[in-house]
Amino acid sequence: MNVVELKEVHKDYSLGKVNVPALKGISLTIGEGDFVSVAGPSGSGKTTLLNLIGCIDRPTRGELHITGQNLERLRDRELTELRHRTLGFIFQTFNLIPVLNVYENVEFPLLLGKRKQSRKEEKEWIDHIINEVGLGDRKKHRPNELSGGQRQRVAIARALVTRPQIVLADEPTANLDSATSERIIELMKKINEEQKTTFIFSTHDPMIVDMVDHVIRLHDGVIISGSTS
Amino acid sequence: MNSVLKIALRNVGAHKIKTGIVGGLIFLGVFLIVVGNSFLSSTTESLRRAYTQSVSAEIAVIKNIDFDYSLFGTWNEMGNLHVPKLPDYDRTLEFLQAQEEVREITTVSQGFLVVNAGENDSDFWLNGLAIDPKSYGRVFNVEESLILHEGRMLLPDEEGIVLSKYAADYLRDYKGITVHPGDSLLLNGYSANGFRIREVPIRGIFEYRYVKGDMYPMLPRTCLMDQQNLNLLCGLNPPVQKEETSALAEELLFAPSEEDMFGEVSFDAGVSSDPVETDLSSLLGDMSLRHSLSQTENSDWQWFLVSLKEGDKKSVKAFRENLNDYFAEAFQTFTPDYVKDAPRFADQFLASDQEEIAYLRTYLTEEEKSQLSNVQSGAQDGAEQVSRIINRIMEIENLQKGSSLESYPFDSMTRNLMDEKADEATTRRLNRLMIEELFPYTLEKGPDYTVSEWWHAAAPMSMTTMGIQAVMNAALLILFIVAVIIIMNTLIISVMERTGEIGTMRAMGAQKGFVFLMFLAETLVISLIFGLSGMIAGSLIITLIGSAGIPAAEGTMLQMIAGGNTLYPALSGWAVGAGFLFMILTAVLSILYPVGFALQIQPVEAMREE
Ligand SMILES: Nc1ncnc2c1ncn2[C@@H]1O[C@H](COP(=O)(O)OP(=O)(O)OP(=O)(O)O)[C@@H](O)[C@H]1O
Ligand SMILES: [Mg+2]
Repeated sequence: MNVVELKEVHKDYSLGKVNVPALKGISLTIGEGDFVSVAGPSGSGKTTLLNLIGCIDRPTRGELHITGQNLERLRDRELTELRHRTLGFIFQTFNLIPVLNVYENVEFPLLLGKRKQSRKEEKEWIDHIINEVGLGDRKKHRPNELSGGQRQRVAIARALVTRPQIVLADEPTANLDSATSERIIELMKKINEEQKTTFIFSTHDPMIVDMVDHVIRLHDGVIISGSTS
Repeated sequence: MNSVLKIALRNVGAHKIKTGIVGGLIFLGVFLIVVGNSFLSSTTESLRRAYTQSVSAEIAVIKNIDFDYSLFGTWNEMGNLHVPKLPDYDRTLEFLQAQEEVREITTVSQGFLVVNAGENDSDFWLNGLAIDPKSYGRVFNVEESLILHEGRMLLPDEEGIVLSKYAADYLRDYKGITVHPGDSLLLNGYSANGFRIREVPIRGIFEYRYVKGDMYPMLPRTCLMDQQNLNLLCGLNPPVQKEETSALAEELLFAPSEEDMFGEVSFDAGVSSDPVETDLSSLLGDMSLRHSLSQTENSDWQWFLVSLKEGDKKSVKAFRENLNDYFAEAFQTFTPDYVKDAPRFADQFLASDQEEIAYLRTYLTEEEKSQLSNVQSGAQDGAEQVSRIINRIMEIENLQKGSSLESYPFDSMTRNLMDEKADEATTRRLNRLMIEELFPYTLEKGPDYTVSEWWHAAAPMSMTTMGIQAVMNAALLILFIVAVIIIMNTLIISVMERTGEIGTMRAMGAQKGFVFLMFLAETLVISLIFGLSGMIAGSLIITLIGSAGIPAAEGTMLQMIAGGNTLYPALSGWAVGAGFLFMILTAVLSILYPVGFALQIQPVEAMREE
């Protein structure tokens, strides 16, 4: 089953009067449980593509289906709900909430929706994920008391806490050293295998490209290979 | 919900500069409101106590008039207008006495007098307050509220004046006239009837104990005197009959001689030659009445001053409102006969000629009909319109027999008609129109009495305090607006700084409502913490000052608005309420725009975070 499906998707940015076409007719499908990387040179449209798949931006033209739903007709409220329910984000710049500690940052997405499990189960689950990313002894730390790799792991835990079907990560390792990067990717791979979570990330990093199931190659807003798995 | 509050609270601590600016302004605003308003309402309260005790009592009842009035004269057109005499003295007095809230009632009148200080000297004005010593002493505890420097209070049925200490000192210091009880004072009065002069014996020299205020000259110049002398001097009684001038030659003998302490009396001082003739005759007319005190009707008073058993603000207000309602209801009994008789006329006419109504109505245009019905339903004030309509009908009826009807209010016009300036049939017809179409309006015109509280009687002083209060509130309003603008700016900057954070939250599935609540909670938390601190700080300061008291120096503004020598400010519930309102309003108004701004932040902004 395809969790992501794009048909002739275009995205233009307007810079004043100039139209900048960032994506020029992208069609692709990504299946459930895929571990995919979007690769391409700087400016090729990787971030733009991930934003569209992640429902945090809308395409200029074209059709976008996420877990079978056509996004075009969804209103802001429904789109927000879809993001909350189905998608997890790992930002390149981590984007942790500075006033919350590690545990609270991971807990945060759960507080946005209705509770689906008991308080106790929820706490166990959060603890489990934090342990899983190796931060069991850092729960009470604020983001500014953590290293870059630790923050990235908090971001991963936060993205996974709602058990999303799809996790998106825009250059998750760009700010990390290569050893940490490898551990992070391995962690995601493990989760991918255990939970059947679909992972889509963009990267320049050749090492990551080697570790994924398949690679979508972008160039200048056009897919040059890997549009289907 | 908990998470919103938690994040809001943490952000309050995390963004210290923002919290400082927003909180500081709210603290300052609430503090100033609590302190300022408490201070001023204490001055009003202190003033109220002083005046109700010594000068005005709690409630004043006068004839309904359309100019501003006080016991210190008509303070917008000084000396030009008098409060008319009470229209239905006996019945009203009886009615007031029957009210269980009423403690005592006294009657007073007011007029301006000039001390005759000899030739070529400038005038020295006095505010003459005619009192009825018996009831005056019952309403105002004279021993307590007045300081008698010399002599004694006026006795019942005695003529004379109790001079203010200020007036006595002034006469001594600036006019070279030393006065003591037992001496007589030559007083002038002006009125529509001309210029009057009378010699009035001085009975005492007094000062108000609690009521101060050299800043407003009419208070220290207020003197207490008998009713007859004031009425005659100021022409407050009905015009003197000309026949009585026969006694004038005799009365002239009573004119002060050169041995009198004020020296020679010059009747034409300051009066041009032409008016002197007429003035002199009225003056002499007056002199003839000098010993016939019964000439003035007992009921020729201007004011009922009513002291109540319960003198607190709320009871007084309730009593005033009840009384106003009563007078409004009882208006019929206070209206002229032709209006009183109207219902009877209506019965008669309705019984006899129905078709006449229809006939009159045919003269009305559609517009006039709707105007009349508006006037009747009270939606529109219509005396002018109605009189225009009547005029027009009269034109049609060809009725303008010599009476100038232009711009007549309809009631005097009808009165003219009743005086047989028009033929009887027309009078009946118009009266019918009045009854049918206008009578409801006439009834709704309101009470013929004005019932007011102390501050109206003490208007110049109470108005000053209220004016200061208004100025201060205007200043606070400006502070409020400035605070809202500054806080709004600070919040917008804060929202912009946190664009990435908000975008991130939105990307993770936070709805707009969450963002809204987060900012609202943040601002409300700051407002509450700082606003309540401001309230507590303000309350503490007022309580501290209140227990010590603020001394007011002689002749200062503070003394005047405080109505005494020491002001004890007390925390006012109203001030605290206003502070609370300021706090909430500031928070809510200044958050609206920044929050609107925050709601526009798209989830994609999360990607721009550096
Ligand atoms: N907000 C924007 N406004 C205007 N143009 C934009 C905007 N975001 C991206 N672009 C343009 O769209 C194109 C694709 O940008 P995008 O950020 O998707 O590239 P990328 O592949 O992620 O590059 P990088 O590897 O450097 O992150 C670029 O030409 C960029 O200049
Ligand atoms: Mg990018």
